[in-house]
Amino acid sequence: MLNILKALNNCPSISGREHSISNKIMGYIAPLTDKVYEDAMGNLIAVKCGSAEDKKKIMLCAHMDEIGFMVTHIEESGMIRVTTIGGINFVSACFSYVVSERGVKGVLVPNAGVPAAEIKAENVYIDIGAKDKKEAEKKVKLGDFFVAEPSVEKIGKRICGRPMDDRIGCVALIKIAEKLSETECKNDVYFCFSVQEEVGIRGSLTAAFAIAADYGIAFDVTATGDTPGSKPMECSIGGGAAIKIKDSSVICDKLVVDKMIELAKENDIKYQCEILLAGGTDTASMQRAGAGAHAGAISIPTRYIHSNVEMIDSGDVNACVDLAVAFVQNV
Amino acid sequence: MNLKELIISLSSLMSVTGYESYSTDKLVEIMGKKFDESYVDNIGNHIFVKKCGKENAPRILIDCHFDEIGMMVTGYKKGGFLKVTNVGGVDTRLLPSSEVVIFGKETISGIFATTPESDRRFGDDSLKPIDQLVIDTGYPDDELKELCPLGTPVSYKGEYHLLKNDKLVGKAFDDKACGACAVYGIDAVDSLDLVADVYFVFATREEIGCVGAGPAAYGIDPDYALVMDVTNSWIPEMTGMKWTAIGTGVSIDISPVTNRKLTKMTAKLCEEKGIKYTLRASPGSTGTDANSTGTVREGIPTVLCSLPLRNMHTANELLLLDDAKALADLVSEFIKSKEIAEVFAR
Amino acid sequence: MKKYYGTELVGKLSELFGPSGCEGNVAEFIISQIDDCCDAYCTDRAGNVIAKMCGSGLEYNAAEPRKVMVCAHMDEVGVMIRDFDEDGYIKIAPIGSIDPRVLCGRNLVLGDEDKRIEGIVASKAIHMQSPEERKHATPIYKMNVDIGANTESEARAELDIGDVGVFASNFSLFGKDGRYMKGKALDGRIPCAAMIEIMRSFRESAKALPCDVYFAFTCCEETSFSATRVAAQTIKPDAAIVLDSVEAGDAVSGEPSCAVKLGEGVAISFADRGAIYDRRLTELAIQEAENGNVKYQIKKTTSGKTGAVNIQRACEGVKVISLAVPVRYMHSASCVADSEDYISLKNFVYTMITANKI
Repeated sequence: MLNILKALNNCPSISGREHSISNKIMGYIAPLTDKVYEDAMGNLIAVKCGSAEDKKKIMLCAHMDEIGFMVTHIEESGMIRVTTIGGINFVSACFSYVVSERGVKGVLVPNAGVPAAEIKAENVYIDIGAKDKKEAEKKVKLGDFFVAEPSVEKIGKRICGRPMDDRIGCVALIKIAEKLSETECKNDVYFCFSVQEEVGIRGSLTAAFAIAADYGIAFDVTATGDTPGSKPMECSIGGGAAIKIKDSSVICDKLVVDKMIELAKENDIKYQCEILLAGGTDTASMQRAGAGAHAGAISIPTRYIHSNVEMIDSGDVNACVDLAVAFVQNV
Repeated sequence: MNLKELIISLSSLMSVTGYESYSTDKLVEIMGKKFDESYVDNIGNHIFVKKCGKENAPRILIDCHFDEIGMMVTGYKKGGFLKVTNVGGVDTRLLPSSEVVIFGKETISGIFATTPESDRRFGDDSLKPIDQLVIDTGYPDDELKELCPLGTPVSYKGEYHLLKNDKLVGKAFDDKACGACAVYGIDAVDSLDLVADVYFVFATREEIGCVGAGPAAYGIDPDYALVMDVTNSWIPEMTGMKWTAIGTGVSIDISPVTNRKLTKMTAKLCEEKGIKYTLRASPGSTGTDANSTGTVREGIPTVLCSLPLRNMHTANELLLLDDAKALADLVSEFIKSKEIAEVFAR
Repeated sequence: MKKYYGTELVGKLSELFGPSGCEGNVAEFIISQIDDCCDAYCTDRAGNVIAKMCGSGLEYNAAEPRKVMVCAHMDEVGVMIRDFDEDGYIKIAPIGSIDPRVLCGRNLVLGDEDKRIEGIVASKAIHMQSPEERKHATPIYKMNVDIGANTESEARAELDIGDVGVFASNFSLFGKDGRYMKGKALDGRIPCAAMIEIMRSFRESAKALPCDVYFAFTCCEETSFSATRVAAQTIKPDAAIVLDSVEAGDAVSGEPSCAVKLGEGVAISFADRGAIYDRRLTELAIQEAENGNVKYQIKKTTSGKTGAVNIQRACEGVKVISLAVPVRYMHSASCVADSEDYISLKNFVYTMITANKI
């Protein structure tokens, strides 16, 4: 699992520029499924055909994109000005290494004298060590993207780094495909690696419309209530797979939630329920695309989301995979 | 069941957004034999069909949303208290000391705790956000967790009574009163008089962003649609014009997101049949299911008719029975109208 | 009239209409419950109901009987009609201390002793509120009560300026196995119910009382006009036991350790904002509670005040003690109290009086 995660984390791909990660995932998922294709938006969809007579269509979805920066302007001094893609946490982003899609390294810094609370896209820049605009332009083009430097570290029993959101979901999907490839699969399963989630759940909407699944399950990270000063929330890292009841974009299908809880109990899979008060997921688009689907989500509890040190527990990920497999085979 | 009884029996059903399925059985029981078919679609819309008996008949969609605002259990506080979050637009001004119903493994009642006098500074009228409020249940902590797992829905306690001038007061008329008007209006029409098969959709999840109506319309693929929702009636706390007051009958919205011609024809229908109505300018988005239905598939011609309502999203919503009667009459005429069918049936 | 007992009695009292200054219905009901178990009763000129139970037996000094007063207030917080507007809405002012945050959107019953009109406090929908409006309660003077009238004259045909109102709230049992009681006006009516049942206990047990006991059900406690003082001046007691309630802040209080807790028994206070209670009587109360195994707690703060302030300073002065039943969400439509605490209160007073040490 760690190896796949490292490989995926090392493919910087902000929303709208998911090509590199898509290719990487293709390599993993293609051998495990019957058919793989990319749709017009760039969603990568892999299909595993089921064998049951009354088989249903189940869409499993994790997003490939990550948050980052897009180059808007290069100053005479060679400093690079950017705009944000997705919800950037500047406390974490500032004074950290960033890397461009072309592999150019730099550091993201706020203008001198800006109070911490007022840091925003307009007053940060990327210094790539160029002596002037001309030199910078050799390495960076307008429209290029930068992300905070990818990383994966084992810290104690946890795994830390970025972007766990939502590469860990993609890893889970690959692991699910792996397990299903070992057995007979009852239902048609559509593995959807979606694009542009971080900018408003755009990719999964068209994918869900095209697939028109009976069930849609998202795999994404969720916040926890187990760190100092965190908002009260009954969800913790190491607490098992988080069965989503609600987030700010969706109220999950009661049927799906109940079924998941039942399966987790039956199969002795560690689980917890999740009510996320801020943040949306691909669950919402799967629920409402086309004629609608029974939608739910299995979340990976994650500390410090959208920072450079997103932290997860591998036990939780395994629980998510087990729960998903149980769901896919039993629904 | 007369219209008033129908409004009360539908409105008192528990249907907090996302948990409409809790009341499927009761809903079907209330509907009785008024419809030929009924089903629940994937996303949770309750759909009732009345057939006109002709083959390849056009389809009319009548959409009201079934869900009501409410709350959901998010945690526990020592001493038998629940923490909750809002589902849809819950007005925290109304919560302290209000009574709620908690739909856990058993249905129990609860009371929102108030600020004790000892903690109250003089003149303090600030309201706490909902995540800082707690509901008192009077149950021991461990039992409470068992009884009300995370995600348990909570709704206002509904009590219905009449004030002067046939003004009906209670919870969740938004939008089940309109639903009652639709059912009543459809039931009043003989199948033979229908110009189309009528699909009455009691839509899911409107209160969190008009989620259910789009998929319902997509699945049904109707020729045209009538969406009905409540609209804020003027009360003294509001500034500006005394718009869409109760007693002005059906409020027909003219909006860029609805079909202008269908809207005009609906108004004309009211005119001809002597149904009390007013036109209402909604220059932007309507904030109703009409936003969703209009853009489904090739675009579904939609008209939005509203029922004036005071005190929306409180446990004491107030409507005038005459307005509701007018809306029910309009539904009857709408599904009988050959003129509209001629223009909009495909 | 039918006699009621226990929580049913509390329920009946809770649902009566009796804002300060308009306690007639409550007084009438109380008389119907006590007329057969006291030696004499009257309604005084201030509206208080005063019932007397005479002492007897060896310990009783018939020549110069000691007089003990037990009192509780009948009235409740409410609203008064201040004005009407042209659309038939009613403007109100609070009677007693009502937090505007518990009034918005509530059901009310308006009227006076004879008439009852239902109304609701209108509330602008959340869709129409500015973010700033969502942070503060609407001040009471800006609230509008809707009784369904279309015009001012229609509203005035039903109600008049000076008519009063209270929360419309049904009494019910609440919580696991219905251990708790929920209703309006519990802060005064639970002590009233306790007094009625104490009188019955004395009568039924045919207990020889060591002193004359005066039970005063008083008016207007929630306002500054003190009918309680009038009662004390009429009775001229040697000592008084003031029954009232205390807000149980254990629900949301910032410092729960100081808060009076529901279910922990009668609260005894040494002092509050109105009175410093008689030290000897307070000590005695604690001792008697211990002896009689009555559940009690000490009120650790000095917030709030009771009718005791008016008795203590009446005439030449009276020794007073305050016993309070814990009530959550006081002065709202949904007060919550523990029926165990109610039983403790009854036992406490019974023990205190029969011990003959007051």
